[in-house]
Amino acid sequence: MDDDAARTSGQSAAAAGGRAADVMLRLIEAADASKVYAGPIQHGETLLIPAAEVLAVAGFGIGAGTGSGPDSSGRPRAGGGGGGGGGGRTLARGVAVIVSSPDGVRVEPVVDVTKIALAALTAAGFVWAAWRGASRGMRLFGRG
Amino acid sequence: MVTVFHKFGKPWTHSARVLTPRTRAMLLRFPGLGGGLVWNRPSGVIVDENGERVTLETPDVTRRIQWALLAMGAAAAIAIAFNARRRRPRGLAAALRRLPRALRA
Repeated sequence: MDDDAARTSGQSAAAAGGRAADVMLRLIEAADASKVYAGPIQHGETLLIPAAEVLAVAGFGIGAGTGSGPDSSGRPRAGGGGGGGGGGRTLARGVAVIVSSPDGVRVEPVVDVTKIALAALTAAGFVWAAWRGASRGMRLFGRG
Repeated sequence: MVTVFHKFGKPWTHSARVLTPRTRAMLLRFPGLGGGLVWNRPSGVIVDENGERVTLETPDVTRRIQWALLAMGAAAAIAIAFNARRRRPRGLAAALRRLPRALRA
């Protein structure tokens, strides 16, 4: 019975470990140059190569164990189990486009207006919070 | 734990010039924990033409503007807080003197 439990938990842990290794391999694949540069696009005499920033995050955990003890009728029992779980996410954002034309090669940056607007709102939030805190403090302790 | 490395992509040939993309990747692995983080971004393109080699950078304009805006906001917030602190009369007596008016407001 103990051998069966150990075997079961070992098999479960091995399967979970295999999946974890697969996740790790996929994560390392995100570091490849082909994930950043898309295939070239030919437009007339111009060649365009889009470039993006890629951020990949993954996490996982595995566990296995065995146990033994008497059941309700007092007979010795043993059991085991194992498993794992995880998750991940990949984010990509266009950074620039490389333009190769008969005139030469140039890099055209990609400007993400939404992200800039969000950063501007956050910065405005800093200023507003500081001003609000300062005016409250002045009212309580200062000359306001 | 943290590994930073450069990688080169497949070279592309276009009108007698060869373009080789280059990336900079950061691999972060958490010791004792499963998983990690990969941050991969373009760092430039190497142009080989007529025996000359030129490297063109791929600047991340959005990221630079974001950091500039956040830095300006943080600097302005610190300046406002510092200015308010400088103008504030110190001491418990001054605070107690202002308390009724502050509570009314």
